[in-house]
Amino acid sequence: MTKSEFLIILRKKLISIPEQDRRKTIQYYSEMIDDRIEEGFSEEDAVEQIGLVYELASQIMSDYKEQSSDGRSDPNSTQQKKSVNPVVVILLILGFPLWFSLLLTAFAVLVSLFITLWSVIIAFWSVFVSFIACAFSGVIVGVVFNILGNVFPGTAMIGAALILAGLSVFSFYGCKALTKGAAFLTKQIAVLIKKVFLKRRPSDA
Amino acid sequence: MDIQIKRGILEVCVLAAIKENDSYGYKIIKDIKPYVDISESTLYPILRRLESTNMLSVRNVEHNGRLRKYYHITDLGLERITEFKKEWEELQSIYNFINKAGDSNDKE
Repeated sequence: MTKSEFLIILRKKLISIPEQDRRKTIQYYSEMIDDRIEEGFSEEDAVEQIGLVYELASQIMSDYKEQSSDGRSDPNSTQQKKSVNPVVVILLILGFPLWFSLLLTAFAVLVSLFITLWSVIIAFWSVFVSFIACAFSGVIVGVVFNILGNVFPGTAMIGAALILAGLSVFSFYGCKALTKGAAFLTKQIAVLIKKVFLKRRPSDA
Repeated sequence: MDIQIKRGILEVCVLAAIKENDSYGYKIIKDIKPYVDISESTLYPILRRLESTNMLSVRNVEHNGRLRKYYHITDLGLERITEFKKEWEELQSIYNFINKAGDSNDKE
């Protein structure tokens, strides 16, 4: 391979590096080849000693990405850094009514699901509260009946109240578990949404 | 040689190669090669890093009808070499420690 062939291929392979850095790199390797030719090597040998241009190019690219990884950590695309594709922008603007209303709908569905879930949880807790309340009032009324002389209804009431008290204990643990599950679900969905949105806008961390 | 160690050492080697006299790319490689293996592609990022941290400066000199880049060491670069020599003394005592530990194991 001749020197110019080598440099042309190298330049092509480094096309995604900014012009100034690319030029400096090409200059450097051109100089290296010339120095070896001066040393007495043939052009072919000199180029060969520099190394295979394809391997060299990929090494230069990875060194370059490593060195310029301050704040810009997207090793996959070195092409578009700050400029956004104008076609994408136009499509976004034109399609605004469509994608925006879809987004709103999705969001509304999500919110209503969330509300439904937590309303159910609240309902369960209200059952628990009513159990306790009934148990309490049952005991009190039952005692009153007993004092007033109506032993049978009074005792029956106390019995029922005690049953309710037991049920309320069970329902307490049930409600607790349900609440935990609902909270867990909510958290998972929140994390998922976060992921989706962070994928759209590449983060600069 | 372990690549981490090599990277740290090569920067100082390059500085040492240009310490007494300004030098150019290919000559630097020739000077260092007997001690550490180094290629053009290894040297280039090192030169860039040394330049960006102001440990060396670059100038273009006309040579046989073309431009050749000469590298010149700065005060910061000289400091780095002194620093390295101090670090080396520390390394020396650590090496002695490791070496001794090796010996006692060999006895078993």
